[in-house]
Amino acid sequence: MLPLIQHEVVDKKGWLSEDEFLNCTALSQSSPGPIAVNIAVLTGYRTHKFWGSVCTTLGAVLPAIFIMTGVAALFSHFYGQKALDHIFAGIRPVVTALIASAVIKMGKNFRFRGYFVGAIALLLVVVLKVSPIYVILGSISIGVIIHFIKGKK
Amino acid sequence: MIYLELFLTSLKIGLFSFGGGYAMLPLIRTEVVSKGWMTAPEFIDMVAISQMTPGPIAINACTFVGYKMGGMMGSFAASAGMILPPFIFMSIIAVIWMKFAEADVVQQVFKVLRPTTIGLIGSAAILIAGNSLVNWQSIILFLLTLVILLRLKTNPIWLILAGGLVGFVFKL
Repeated sequence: MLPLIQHEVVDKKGWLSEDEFLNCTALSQSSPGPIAVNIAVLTGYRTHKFWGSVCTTLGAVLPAIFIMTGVAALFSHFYGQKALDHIFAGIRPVVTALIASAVIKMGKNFRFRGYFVGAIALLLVVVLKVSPIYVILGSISIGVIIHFIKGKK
Repeated sequence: MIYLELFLTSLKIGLFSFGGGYAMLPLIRTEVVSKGWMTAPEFIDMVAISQMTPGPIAINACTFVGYKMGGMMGSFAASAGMILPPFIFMSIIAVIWMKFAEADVVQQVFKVLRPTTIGLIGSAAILIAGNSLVNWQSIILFLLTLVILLRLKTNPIWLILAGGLVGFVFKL
């Protein structure tokens, strides 16, 4: 979605400069929630303050919500039929590959420490069945603790 | 009340998932499967549908779960919960602008959080594999797709459609 957002917001409307957009993206990726929603809030606020961000956020999510409600309605109607079962049996390995390839691509530039942290998070969830939320909270706390230990030196 | 529960659940997911998109899947999976709102295979199918439908994947997924559990109002309740935390958080960020991302402590937190997130996505892949790689045909399909994804620049939608076609033709 990012190239599309950039085209509209930077090239066509001129709401943000190229630099501002890159900053927005970085910020949005480091904040909780869907990235597209985060960028929408920032862009809206930059141009028209609070109501600007309300408008951009609604614009970013309403089409998705309406389309998806329609799709879900259709889907619940047909789910469980034999033909659809076969189709989804073929789709599931593809989805698994999509997620696996995302992990491989994102992990490519890591050093040893990154693999170590990633592996611990993975094992906590898969083997010990820890909720991902606690893993995320734990890693935020560790980051903060490391920051203050480093600061003391 | 199911609407409130849908709202609070996606609020929780929206609040604690960093990185958007796939990074939100492990949280969504844990929540909906543990609550019994979806079976594990259903979750995978929902991810496929969310990926194929335009819009942010997390919003799509929440809307879908919401519809399944509470119809039209359910899908609005779930999406609202997903949007509210980022909206409030980003509004605050917008006011104090860039100071946040540049702060040393945030940089340090992300050094740990980034690999954690990827590990979590990996955990989702492994848990999903348990329900999707059920016979040798599906394992071959998985490996083939993985190679294509890593070697070529392909739109995932085509691969999902191709997977569906293979499943239909060969009656997987």
